[in-house]
This record gives sequence, structure tokens and C-alpha cells, in this order.
Amino acid sequence: MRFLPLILKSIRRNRRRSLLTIGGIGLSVFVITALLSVEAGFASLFNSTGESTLNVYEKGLACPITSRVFDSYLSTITSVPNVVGATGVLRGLYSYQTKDHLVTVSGVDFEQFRRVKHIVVGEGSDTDFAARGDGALIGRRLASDYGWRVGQTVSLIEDRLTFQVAGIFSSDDKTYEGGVLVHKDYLSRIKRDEGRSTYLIVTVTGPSAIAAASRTIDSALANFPKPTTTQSEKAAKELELMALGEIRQMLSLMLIATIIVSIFGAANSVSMSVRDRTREVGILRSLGLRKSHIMQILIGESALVALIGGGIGLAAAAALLTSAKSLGGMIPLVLPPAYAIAGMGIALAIGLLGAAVPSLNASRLKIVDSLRLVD
Amino acid sequence: MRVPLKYNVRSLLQRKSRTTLTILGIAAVVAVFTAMVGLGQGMAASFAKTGSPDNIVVLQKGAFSLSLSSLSRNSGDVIRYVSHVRKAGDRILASPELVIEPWTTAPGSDKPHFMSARGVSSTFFSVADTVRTVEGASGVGANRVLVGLGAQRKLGGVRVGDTIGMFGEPWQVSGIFEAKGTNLEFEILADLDNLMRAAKRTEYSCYTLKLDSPDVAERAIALLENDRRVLVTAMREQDYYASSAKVYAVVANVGLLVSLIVTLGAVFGGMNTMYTAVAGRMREIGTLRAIGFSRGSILISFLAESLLLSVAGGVIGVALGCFANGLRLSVGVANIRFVVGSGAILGGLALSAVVGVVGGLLPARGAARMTIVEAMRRI
Repeated sequence: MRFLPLILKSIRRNRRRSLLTIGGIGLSVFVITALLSVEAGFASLFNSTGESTLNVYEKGLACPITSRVFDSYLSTITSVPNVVGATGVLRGLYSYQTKDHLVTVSGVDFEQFRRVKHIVVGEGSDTDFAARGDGALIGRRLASDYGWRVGQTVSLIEDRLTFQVAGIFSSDDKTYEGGVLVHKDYLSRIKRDEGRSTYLIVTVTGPSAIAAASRTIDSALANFPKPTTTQSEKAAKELELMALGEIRQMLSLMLIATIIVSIFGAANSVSMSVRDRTREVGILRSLGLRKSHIMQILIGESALVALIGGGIGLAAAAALLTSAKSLGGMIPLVLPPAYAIAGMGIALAIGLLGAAVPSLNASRLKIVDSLRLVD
Repeated sequence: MRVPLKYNVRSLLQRKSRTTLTILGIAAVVAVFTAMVGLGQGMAASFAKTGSPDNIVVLQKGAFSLSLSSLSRNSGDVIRYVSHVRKAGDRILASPELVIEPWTTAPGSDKPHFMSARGVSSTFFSVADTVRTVEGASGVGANRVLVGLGAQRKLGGVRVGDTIGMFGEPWQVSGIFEAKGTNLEFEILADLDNLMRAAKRTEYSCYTLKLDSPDVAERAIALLENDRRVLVTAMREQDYYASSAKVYAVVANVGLLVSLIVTLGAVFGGMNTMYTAVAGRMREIGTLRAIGFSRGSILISFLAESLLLSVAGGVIGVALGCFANGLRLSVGVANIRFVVGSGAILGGLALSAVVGVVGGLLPARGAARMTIVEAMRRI
């Protein structure tokens, strides 16, 4: 700590280099934090599932949105022991303006749906939604992505599905916050898909009842025209995300590549700053400073520069994430405190690792050699 | 104008660790960039080539994709007999298909794979004329399937005679097919009625029609879409795949964007190196000026030094990026191959040159602007 004034002075003395290094590390931390946040978004989708909730899908299908089960199954399901309630959701995949702006529309029986999913209508009102046949509630994330307001009429490409925005909602199930809720009979009329749902949501008395209830439901429906796969909501979502394939692995690879690039950059910049100051190191040594002191000064400088850069990168990432909120409405972008700390930790690690070798070399140099050296 | 290039090369060699670190830093970003361009090209290649110009697909009106479309069996009575559909002898080249995405297991593992299966009749093989069996039998039969080359890789290299699992039933692989590197190669082909029974489906997903020529496509599409007896959308097969490719292209674009942001970091690094190089060689610059090199020579010489650094990094980066060639990324049912071709290689080299010029310009200008006296006096 007593070397802090010296460290600050040397950072300020070569302002241009410090700024460039700070900029480089800032960019890296920005990218790293943004990638981490996408990863956190994926994770938040799993973690927001109901603990005593089951999903019933058509058996054997990998792509959940292509599943179709009959609404008539609901009466069979509600007679299964430990089942509290059940409702069907008809999902449709649509796009807004261009084909790459996906919108997931869920047709629900709102009264029933509210009993299994916690929905809080912020702007607008749920009575307006109930009153209008073509009303819609828009998930908080999707609304901010596409800038949809209460009272607006929105038209999607496929089926020219049109709805009136009656309210903006938030939910503790983050998957719905990226989509649209409409009345199920309205959606099934447009899709000409009446009497069927994409999946059924079933609530049971508690987490311990999940396994037995799933088995009972599947065996009760085994001889119906479409057999089902019933599993906990969490397991169903994990499979759903598996369908996204190796995108997550690609993100982690890019994360690693970014970190490697930053370490090269930081190591380079520190080694240059050390090299420039070889004579200075000689003078400091001849004044009586130990090798360990030299290490402290050089590594301290690098760590401080890295932390400043990291802080700026983190701030920029946080600003971007709060303004973007989500990736295409699908994946929420959040920055949990643990990830912010991880971002700073990575910055610090870049600074320390980059400084390690050059400072070790500088501290090992003989005083005579370092004083004699002319670059 | 003389440029002391030999001097620049020697200076780079003099400072080995700095030169190496700068080159490696640039190499890393260029490698990532090259791989991402390769991914984008791979996507473009798999989707753009899919479909024949004289084929159109007919799907349920408003359906987002083939697997989300359903057409009743009797809609075929209207669709098959639309004008301009080609005939081969007595056969009308209209192929009803079921496109579905089952969890599929390969032999020796319980891990389910996300695959796309297509139930087809014998007409399909006359309509989808890119399909060619490369191994085993051609054609599908009772619980016997053909597996595309891409699907074969995704299923861990299943071979003819192996048994795969779909919808809780065993299916024997009777052949492996290729389809000129198109999207179809990601699929498993099964017998239409067989697959419909196994999947408990009663409706088709789509019809693929082969027309008399590509020129009549617009007319056939209009006839189908205006027919009040069915509610369908029709489009050229190529247009269908091009628009579904857009969804996948987002992945490659995000990758490209990230790699470009990281590249900006490499520009900072290169600039840092060049400023230090100039700062450490003031007296040398003064000497060069004193023995007759002009300001322009100095500017170009330092710019060249920066370019040399960055292009050396670029060459290494592109070489590393080439290792990505042929790698595969599974996204949904697709399994996209990285195609690091001439475009990606030139792009990577161009990017490294840009890094060199942008990173070197300001330091080189600083070096050139100095007066001789000022430069000689510096330590």
C-alpha cells in the first residue's frame, strides 16, 4: 500500500499507454460480462420453474412447440390422485416484421392459467384483457424489446395474427415474460387447431408427488390416440434448451478466446512499461528497495490498471444489458452480482497474470545491468 | 522515396517478447474472426443450396415452419392436381411429406438427439432430385430408414445395419444418402405411413411439387393460394429454406459481432506496441532523418512495421482459424459445418491489415512529425 503514490504516478506518467491498456481490458471485460449474462439468462429460465408443477407433452417429440395433446385429457388428469389443477396452453411460433424476430404466443384459459402461474399485470389491466376477445397480455421483456404499448394493435406475419395489447405483465416464470398471452379460443380459431393444446400444465400437492403423478398420468393416457410424456416442469425446460444445441458451448468457447486475447494484451502492455523503466528499477533497487518491493510496484500497477479497465467495461455492459433487457425476447439478459464480481475477478486475473513474468524478470535484473541499459 | 524497411524488420526482431506477444494477440482475434466468418459461410451454404428451382413447397397457411404445418390427407386431392405439376409417366410428381422432430437414440447410448425426420412416399425420390444414396439400399420401407450424411455425423456415425430409436420403436438404417451438402442431409427419411403411425399423426406436414419448369412457379403458387377448397401457402423451395436460414444466421452474426468488438481490443494493443516502439527509438528516428530520410519515409516505415506485425499475426490467426474448417455446430436440428474458404481467409487477412493500419497510423504520424533536433535530444 505504501507504494500506491508511486504506482499512481507511473500510471499517470505514460497516460497514453495506460489509457490504451485500460481500453483494451475494458473491452474484454465488457464482452466477457455480456457473454456471462447471456449464460445467466439461460440459467434463469430453468430456475424460475414451479416446484410442484408438471408438464404434459406429446410423447417422443424433441421440438416442444410441435407437440399437440387433446384438451379432453384434462378431465382424466384432474381425477389422478394428488393433482390440484390442470390447464392447457396452445403455443404458436410467429414472427414480427421480419422472420428473425420471433414471438412466442401462448393461448391460455386465463382464469385457470392464473391459478398455476403467478402473473402480475403492471401497465394496463387484466379486466381489459378478459373483456376483449382479441386482447393480449405482453411479457415485460418482449414489450420492452419491441416497444409495444398498452392500447396498441400488433399484427404478426404468420396467419396475420392480430391482437390488442391490454396489459404488460411480469411473472416469476421467466419464460412467459418473453412472450405473448392471448385467449386460447381466439388462438385456436386462428390456427384452426381447436380442442388441442401444445402442452398441459398440471399442479400437484407438492414436489414429492411429482414422480408418482407423472407415471399415473402417462399410464392413464397410454391408450388414448396420442400418448404423453409427463415430467417436472424443470426437466421439460432443460430438454427444451437442449434443442438450442451447442450455442451455449460456442458462447463458452468465445469467452475463453476473449480472456486469452486480453491476457496477451495486458502482458504486452505491462512488459513494455516494465522495459521502459528498467533504469528506474535499477535506481529504486540502489536506493534499497528489495526485489519483492519491485514486484509489488509493477504488479500493483498492472492490477490497478486492469481494475480500472474492468470497472469501465462492467459499467458499459451493465448499461447495455439494462437497455436491451433480452436477446430477441427469448433469453433474459440479467447481470447477477455474482457475475459482476466474476467480471472484476477476471479483470484482476488478467492484470496479475500479464504482469507476472515481466515483473519477475525486471526484479531479477542486476542493479548494474539495469542502470547501464539503454533502450 | 526510400523506406528503411530492413531497419524496421531488425527492430522487430530486436524486441522478441514484445513482438511475439503483439503477434499472438492479433493472431487470437483473427483466428476467432476467421472461424466466425466460416460459420456464417457454412450456414449460407447449407441453406442457400437447399431446394431445386423447379420445386415448390405447399404448407398450411400461416405455419411458421414445415414441422409446425399440418395438411389434411384429402387436401392432396386439390394440391396434386394443380396445373403445371410435372408428370413422369402416370405418376404426378407431388410428394406428401410428414416433417417431425423426434428424440432419437443411436446404438450404444441412451442420450437422445434432437433430429428431424421426414416421412416420404416413393414419389419423393423423383421430386427431391438431389438425394443420392451413397451406401446401402436406396428407398425406405417398414421401419427401415435412410440417414443423411449430416444426420449420420450427429448420431455419432451410425452405419448401415445399425438400429436407431424414434417414438419408442426400433428403426433399421438401410442406407446413407447425400443431398449435395444441403439442409436435407440433416434429416432421417422414413416411410410416410410408417412414420405417421409411429408418431400418431393423422395429417401431413406439406407437399413438395415438381413443376414443368421454374418459370411457372409463380402461376402455380397463385393457383394454390387462391383455391378456396384448401387454406395453404406455397413458395419456392429455395425461398422457404432461405427464410428459415435467417433464424440460424442470428447465431453467426452474434459471433461475428463479438469477434469484431474483441478486435477493437487488439487495435488498442497494436497501438500500444507502436507508440512504445516510436518512443523508444526517438534518437534512431532523428538519426534516420539526419542522414536524409524524409518525413514521408519515416511515416511509411513505421506504418509498414505496424502492418508487418499485424499481418504476421493475421497469417498465424488465419492458419489457426483453418483448424475450425470442417468442425460442426449443432443448432436445433441443423448441424452446421464451418466452411473456412477463401472468403474467410481473405477476410481474416484484411482484418489484420486494418488492425495494423489503424493501430500504426497515429504513432507513425507522431514519429514523422518530430523535428530532427527534438528527436536527437530525447533519451
